[in-house]
Amino acid sequence: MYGFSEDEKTLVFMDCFGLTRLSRPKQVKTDGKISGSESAGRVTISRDGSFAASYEDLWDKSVIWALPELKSAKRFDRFREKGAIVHPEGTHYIVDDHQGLRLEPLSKRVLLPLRLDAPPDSNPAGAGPITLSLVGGEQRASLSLGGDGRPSAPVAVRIAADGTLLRFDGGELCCATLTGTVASVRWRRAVTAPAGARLELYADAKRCVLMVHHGRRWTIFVDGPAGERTFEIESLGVPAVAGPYLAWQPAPDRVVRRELDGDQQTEHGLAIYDKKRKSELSNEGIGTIFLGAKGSLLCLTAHRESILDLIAKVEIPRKLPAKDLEIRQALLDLARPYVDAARAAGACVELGRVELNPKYNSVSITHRIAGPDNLFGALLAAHSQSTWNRRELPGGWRMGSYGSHGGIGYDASVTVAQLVEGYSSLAEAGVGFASTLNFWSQQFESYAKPPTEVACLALLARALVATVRDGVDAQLDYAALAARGLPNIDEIVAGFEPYPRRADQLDYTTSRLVGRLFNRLYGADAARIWIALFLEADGWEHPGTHYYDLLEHGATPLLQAHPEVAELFRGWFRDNAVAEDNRAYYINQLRERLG
Amino acid sequence: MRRFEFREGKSNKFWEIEVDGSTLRTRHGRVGAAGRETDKPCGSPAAAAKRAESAVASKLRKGYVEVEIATSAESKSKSQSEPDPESPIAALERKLIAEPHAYDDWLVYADALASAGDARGELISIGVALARNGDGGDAKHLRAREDALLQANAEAWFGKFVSDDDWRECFGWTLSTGFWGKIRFWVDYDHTGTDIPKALAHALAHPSAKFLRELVLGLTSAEGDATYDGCIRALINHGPLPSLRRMIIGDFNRDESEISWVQVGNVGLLWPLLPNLEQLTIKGAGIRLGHPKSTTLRTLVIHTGGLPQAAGQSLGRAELPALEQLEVWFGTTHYGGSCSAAEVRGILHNESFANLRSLGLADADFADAIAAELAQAELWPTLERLDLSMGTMTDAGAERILAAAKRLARLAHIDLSRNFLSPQMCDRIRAALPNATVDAQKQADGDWYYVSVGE
Repeated sequence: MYGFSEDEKTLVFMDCFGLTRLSRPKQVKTDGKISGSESAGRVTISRDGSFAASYEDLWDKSVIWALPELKSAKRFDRFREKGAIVHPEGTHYIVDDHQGLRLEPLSKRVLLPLRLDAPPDSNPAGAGPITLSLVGGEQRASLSLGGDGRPSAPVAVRIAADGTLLRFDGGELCCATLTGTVASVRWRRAVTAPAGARLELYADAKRCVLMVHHGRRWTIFVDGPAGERTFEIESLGVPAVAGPYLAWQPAPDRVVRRELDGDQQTEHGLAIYDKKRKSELSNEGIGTIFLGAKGSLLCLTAHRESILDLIAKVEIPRKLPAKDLEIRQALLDLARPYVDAARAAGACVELGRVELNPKYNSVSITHRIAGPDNLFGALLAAHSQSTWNRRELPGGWRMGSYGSHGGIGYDASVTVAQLVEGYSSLAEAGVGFASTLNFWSQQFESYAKPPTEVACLALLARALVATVRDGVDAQLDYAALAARGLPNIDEIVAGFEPYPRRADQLDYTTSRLVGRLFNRLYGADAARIWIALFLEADGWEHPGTHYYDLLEHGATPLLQAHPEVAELFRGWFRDNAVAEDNRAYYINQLRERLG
Repeated sequence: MRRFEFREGKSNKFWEIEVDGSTLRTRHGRVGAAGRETDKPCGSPAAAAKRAESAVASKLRKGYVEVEIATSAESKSKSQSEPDPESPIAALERKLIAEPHAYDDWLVYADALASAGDARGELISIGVALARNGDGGDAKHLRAREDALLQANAEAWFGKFVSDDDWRECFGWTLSTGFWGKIRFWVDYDHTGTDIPKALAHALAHPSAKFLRELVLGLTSAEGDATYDGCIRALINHGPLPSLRRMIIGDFNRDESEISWVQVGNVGLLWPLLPNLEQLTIKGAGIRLGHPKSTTLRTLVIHTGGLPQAAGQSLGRAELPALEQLEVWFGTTHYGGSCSAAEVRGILHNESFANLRSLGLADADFADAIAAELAQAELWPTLERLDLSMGTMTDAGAERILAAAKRLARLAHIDLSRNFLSPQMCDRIRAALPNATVDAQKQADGDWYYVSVGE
């Protein structure tokens, strides 16, 4: 997200690498300690460019900034003053909390450290919070944008430089004019779209623009001087709208800007304008567009190291720490396949927070994940977590932690055809079955739902066996696997022969999935699987987690559901001695449970 | 601790030595630097003292000269910030340090600064007026003016604590007669990279800290590995703090960190630097007390999940004639505790504690042995309150307390709560010692008796 001052001389934006202020033409300052997702992180700026506000969505922290210094004027504790927005007049900041929109006074006072003996009356009279009343206004006809569900607006309140305020509560859009501390509601209308689809909002005194994301397509609704109209565009990234302009990226190498009230449009290439720059990074790729109502058109490049002024054809370095260039680019390269694939599928799986800790040379990554229920998106979200396992990072950096906020659901009544299609699409995006194992493990937890169609479970079993047998990088033909139906137990036992040696390359929850999936598919017959995989498997170096899971999610639940298999296990113990190795503890646990 | 310095040609180095129980501790390095510390276990205090003697003789032979540690640091400090000690203003400052409530003198000082064009003069005058009149009179206008002055002089009066966001958010202050009265440092998960010792050094050297009365050190790390070695070093490097009356090392709660995760370090190095300290609270693990020596300290509180034996021995040989309140948690061997009845005996026989009014020997995993020591000891006539709570005292220990009931009955209060006393024993205690509290007794977990604060 970004904000331009009214004269468009100051631009402030934020992404996973920091908060950047550009004082045009070329003065840049970046604070690398502030970061947020581009979709739900917020940056706003006052009309005169004297204040900005940032809201780190994944850290849940708002900061008010004095500009042009980019020096904090007010910092809030985490989880307080969620999503602070600077009032266009620079007199207040606005927060959208459970009580509604609240205005708090703002000044350019020097921010002192915490005074431990603050006088009780340190708030001057009349400077307290003001709650904005958003009542009344013309009730307009409801608007359907390609569906009858509730869309999801990552940023539900937008305030334009002229004071036009747009707020979406999940069902109804409310448009008001903010003057000083008073809001006059102009109109309100219900809006529907595909359930969970991303909805972007914009309004000023002359027009209201809504944009709904359907994969590469965006439905654009404009209510302006030329009346209401709806059209579609194809954009790789998120389109931008400001004043009379709409801009988007139809291809990796260019941005298009068109007039909303007419059809005139111009094309702008993402060339390398700075011929002297040392790095050889290409400017092509999915960038972030910064569009001004008065005609400014800038773009943060896909590599996020520089800003392109597409009108002046100037490239401005963003001044991120040069020493970390290599690791930043490596992280982007690793994330790009799934970030772009999710975007193309109408979902959002993005890097929202990247923390580089030079003290420990460690990297922490947090994703923002959102989007309508969608198998492909859900699998990509799972992949975004597991892709960082055991990745080699350059420059001695190592992964410290990775996590995510949000999630994408899927419908358990998925058909095998949909599963094949989903996985085939993932394969095109370079994503294999192995990196989605964690997702399926979670679906078998008590609070989630695995696919209901047996053919789907059979395909999962086939893919699991093939992955264990052929390795994590195996290219699977999902259609062929689906056509073969349920594997028999001999195939499973044979396919799992390399499991003790491969388990460490697979997600740590794999044995949990193995236990639950095979019990469900084979019932009492699964006892043969546990004899082979649990009691007789050899060659385990680190059986701990896996043996625990095979015992607790495989053999033991089977005993409880099918007590008759106990005799089969007892027979094994009568005929075999338990080797005194690192598996013995778990195997003896099973023996004790047999009574 | 003894300090020796060697200056010759390009050499300008120091060597410090200290006997801490049965450990011999030395530190060496260039004068002005933190130096490198080494611990050598010697088996017994006597052996450590003998080796120290031999090492000192060796250094003296090599040309090292012994210096007073306070003097050494003082000379550095003086050269940096102290005014000419002969000047009237310096004399006035010394008086204000000694008598922080001498408001008439503060006004003289304020006038002197104001006439030199220093805006702090007006801030002092406002502080005096607010201190004398509280929130009555013209307080509202005075506070508004104080606020305006703080805004106008923020950079001069707070330095890097206004220019650096991270430092600002790890620092708290109060205002007393125009200067920082109390300052507090801490880190949280928003500021894990903040260097607290560096910020402390900056604050101590700042003119606003000239009359600092209270220093509070919260967590120095939010990642479960907080230590205070760096802060102690910053205090040593700064030199004496004659204005300081109260200090807390380890101001944190359980939500922020377990007590055993916080390493306090060698507080013993600070005694010579805090000549007017009245209250000291220490919380954490790995506490070293050196040779506690102060003529002004009235309250000493030590909260830990495990008090090392050397620290217990330090209390036995402490020279704290003004001490009125001593509160010690001994903790458990599971978290570094190694004290026993011998260390308690040392405390109970310390003749310098002749003014003690309140004694806490709490949270001990040898509470029965403490009870036995108390039963035999002659308690100071001044003692009013005795805290034996939170430990592992059983009925066996309580029998010893009952045996000494006649002597203990004169106390105002005895706290035996949160031990392992049976209901019958609680009734007997109540009958024999109406001044005792026996609330919230714990239940043993099998044969495991545990202290209330360990990890």
